[in-house]
Amino acid sequence: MKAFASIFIIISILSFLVFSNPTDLVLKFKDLTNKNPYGIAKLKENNVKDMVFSKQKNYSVVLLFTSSGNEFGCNNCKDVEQKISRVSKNWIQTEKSTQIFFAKLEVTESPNAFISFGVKGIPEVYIIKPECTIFKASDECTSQISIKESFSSEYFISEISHFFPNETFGISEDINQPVSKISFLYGILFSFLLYCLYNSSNAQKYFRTISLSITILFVLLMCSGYMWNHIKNPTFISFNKETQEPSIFIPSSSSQLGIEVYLVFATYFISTIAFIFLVKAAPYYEDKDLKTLSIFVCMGVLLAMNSYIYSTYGIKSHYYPFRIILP
Amino acid sequence: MVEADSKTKQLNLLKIAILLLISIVSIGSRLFSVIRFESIIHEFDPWFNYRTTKYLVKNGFYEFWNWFDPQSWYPLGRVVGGTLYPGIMVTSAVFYKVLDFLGLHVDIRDVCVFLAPFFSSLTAISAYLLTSEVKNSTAGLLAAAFMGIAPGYISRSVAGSYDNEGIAIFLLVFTFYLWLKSVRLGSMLYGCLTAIFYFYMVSAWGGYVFIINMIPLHVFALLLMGRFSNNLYVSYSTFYVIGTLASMQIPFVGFQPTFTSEHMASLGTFGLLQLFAFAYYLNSIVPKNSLKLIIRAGAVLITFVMGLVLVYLTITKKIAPWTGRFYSLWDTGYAKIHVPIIASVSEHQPTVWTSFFMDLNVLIWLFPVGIYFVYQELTDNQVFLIIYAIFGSYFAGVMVRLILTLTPIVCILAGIAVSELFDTYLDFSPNSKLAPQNPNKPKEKENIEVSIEKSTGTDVGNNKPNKRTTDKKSVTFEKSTESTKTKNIKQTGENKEKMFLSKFPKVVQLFVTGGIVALLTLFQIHSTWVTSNAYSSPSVILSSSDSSGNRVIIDDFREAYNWISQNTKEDAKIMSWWDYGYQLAGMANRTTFVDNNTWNNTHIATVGKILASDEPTAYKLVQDLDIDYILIMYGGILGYSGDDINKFLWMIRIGQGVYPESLKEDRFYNSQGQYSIGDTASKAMKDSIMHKMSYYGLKEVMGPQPMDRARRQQLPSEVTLDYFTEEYSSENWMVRIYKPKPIDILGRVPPK
Repeated sequence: MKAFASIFIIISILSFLVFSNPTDLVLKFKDLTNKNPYGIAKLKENNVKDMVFSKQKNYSVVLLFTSSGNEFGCNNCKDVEQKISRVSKNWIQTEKSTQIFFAKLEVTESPNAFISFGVKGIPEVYIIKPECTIFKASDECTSQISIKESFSSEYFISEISHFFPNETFGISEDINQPVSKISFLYGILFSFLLYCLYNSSNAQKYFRTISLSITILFVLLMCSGYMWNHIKNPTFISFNKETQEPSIFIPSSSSQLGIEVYLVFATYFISTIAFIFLVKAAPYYEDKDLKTLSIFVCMGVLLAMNSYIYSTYGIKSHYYPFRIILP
Repeated sequence: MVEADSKTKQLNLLKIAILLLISIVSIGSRLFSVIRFESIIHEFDPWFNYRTTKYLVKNGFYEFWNWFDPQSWYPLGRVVGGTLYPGIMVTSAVFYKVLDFLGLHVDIRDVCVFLAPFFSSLTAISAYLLTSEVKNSTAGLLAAAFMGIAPGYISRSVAGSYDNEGIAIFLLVFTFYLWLKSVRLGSMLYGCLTAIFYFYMVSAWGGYVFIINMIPLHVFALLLMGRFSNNLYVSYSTFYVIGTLASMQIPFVGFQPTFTSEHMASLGTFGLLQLFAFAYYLNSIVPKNSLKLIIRAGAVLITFVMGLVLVYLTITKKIAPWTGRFYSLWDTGYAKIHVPIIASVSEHQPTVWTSFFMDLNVLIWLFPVGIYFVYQELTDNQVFLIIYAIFGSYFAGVMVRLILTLTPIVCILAGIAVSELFDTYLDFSPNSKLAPQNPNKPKEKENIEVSIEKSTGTDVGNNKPNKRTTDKKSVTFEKSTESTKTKNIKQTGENKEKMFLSKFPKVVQLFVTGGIVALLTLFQIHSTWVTSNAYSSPSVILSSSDSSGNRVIIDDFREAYNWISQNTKEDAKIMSWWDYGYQLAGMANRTTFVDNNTWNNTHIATVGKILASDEPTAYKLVQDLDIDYILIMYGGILGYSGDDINKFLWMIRIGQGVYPESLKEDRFYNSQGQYSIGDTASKAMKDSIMHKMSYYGLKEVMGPQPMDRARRQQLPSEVTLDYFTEEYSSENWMVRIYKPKPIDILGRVPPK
């Protein structure tokens, strides 16, 4: 009984120490920070007040208001977050990493926090000083970092250095591993499977058909600008602000919307199939009428697809003079 | 027999005539810029190539090889001989000497200007050779025709664009042709020839890495497919050994083939091939049971040893296979994050679909059709085409400029596709596939086909499956696959014969061919249009039209460079931003500080710092660096947007990377965060000598409402310049040259 009581007392003292001590917040924050590979803690409206505007805290917070989804049409949110994450990733590896924390709030998850803080637009970045306790954007204890068109990690560092003159910030370069280890493993397994398929002789025909279709799809996808989408991650489809009508092709020959690639890809693919059909299948129908008809259909499809692609190219580059039928 | 002979002769004559016409067209369509402007070297890099070629012709090869150029990167200088690919210079020097020997005294500049068009005709011919090697000569001629006019290749080979790519694409295609021929024949001679042309390619362009990865990949794929043969062994071993040794003779490449990750694939494949050959040899002398044991033990041992060696080399940092360099091969986004100077170049961006359409047009969707037909009869050589197609299209997708390496394979496969269509629809003979036929004589048709193929006199035989049996080894599953393949072909053949029976009107045939020909004609017109409008501007001379539609030639660059060469001392040192370094050296023949070689980032950053500093700081640096003149480009009067004020932010960024304490990009934005040049500009902007030199004295000539036409902003109201004097401004004020004032007799700064 005595031992139980003493344990109880020790625990309560400890817990008192822990709960009253601001280091608890630090630990909590540190924990949240470590969950994110880039060292940006993801907060929500139920814990942001405790974590960022608590009276007991002794650290500053760099708070990013952002939206990583596409719902709000925020084009440079991801970009800004990525630039900041390069700084934060470097920061959490330094010794002083508990003096400044990086955190972000998602508008979809915590809309009320955005309203009560007074966020005017996304993305916005604020520096919240240790003495700050009111959850509101104000000149005294929060300071906003302006985000301009060419937001870079270097610029971000130069901005926050004004507020933390004693600290030095660095940039972590993260190697973009094109294949994660797991997908690499899948790749090996898959190719092994294909290899087995290939070696079992009766399946060889299927193997050839499968690999042929994969090759054709891959090659066509590459030639329709898929890599541009993959690397630049553009808006998929854009809406006209006044009429709310979707525009599928933007009139610029140096950029593209996400959807364009798939339309162009489909056009090319149909043309390819029609051409193969025209050579390999259409002439061999026994029925004369069917044969003639199928040939005419193929030619019609080729014509339609090519006139479509010419006219869309005309939208993309205004000076292009050639069209087939379609304006 | 006599008839057949004369027919063969006719066909050969026709082929030669067609190839000749293709050559003429491919040269002709690249001459737009010469006809519109004059025979002049284009852009920036070609000026360096031109200057080095002149040096080579004047001083001979050994002088050129050991050339240390004190005129560039002053005061550092540049070891030119060891830091360039000498192929193109040596080629044009040889042409020049040969023409001179023959009594044709051509200016070296003309040799340089017309080198790329000349080689493009050779590229068309080698595309013909390659395609006839894998398919037949009909496809070859079509491929050659496409190759001659495809804008994707024209973009780098118009007259005057005297750059490495001009000859490199020819070498790429021709090396691949020789490689395929050597694999088919198993000939050591062709293996050697492949290696020699590979060496030529290494000497000409950094893109040789593509060859040294494609060929091993081909070999590797064949090994995986169980298609090892002595032919393959002989040709790859010959090629790899001779080619690698030869490539190491180029100083710029040096020992790279032994340790960099780009070359590891070729080395690994070479080793693997030796193991395969050894296993086959064992197979012939050792009984089967013990062979299994040997192979297993050998495999374990070799894996173990290789692993140890790899670990050892990685630990001692002899090789670095898993570094960023390896990733950057696959993910070009990598370079973009890490090297800002690469990111600033537009041709390193991923490719949008419009670029593909502009450069390849209808060939894009004919390209997969070709892949389909290649898959129908998969010989060793056709495996190569498929691998090339996959990798070529991937790399073209990630980087705009690599459409260049994709273009040959697109042309070849599209040629194959169209030739298949013509084979079917242009055959009006009674034995044609489409014509009504007597079911009793399907055999005869095949005979005729064979005889036609023979009579064309080219090496078409290789795509017949039975030819391969000669070099076949005792691989069991290969045999079975081979036999099923032939069976399949036979069966489908019979089915087809039955289907041909119905009547078929010739009108439909003519309609189809007519339609496709019309499409291809449109492609030709498109190509010419693209060449004429997009790829034929020398960019040294500009042209625009005035209000009444007359063409106005703007020749400010040459005017200013000419002024420099006439009015400055021969050892004058002229500072400009790096874009103009090669042109300055090439046209004005004066010492420059930085140029397009961009090997020394600090030096470039220093120039950036000078241009972005205020007058006293800049003056001090100018004195320290012993700069005699400063040259800047200003496009505000003409509305030319590629001038220095628009590049200024890059100068600051690059400068800031090295001098973070004295340069800050955000100081050059005004209080609204805009990049402005007028009275609202930030103080740092107005104080910078770049701003002052651009707008100094401009207001007097611009009339009552002075506007900067390139940026559509009001000019600053007052610009003063205390430490520098204006020496020269060209006709349209595009090039402005300033000189630092000498310190006066009393040592006063600023000098009065």
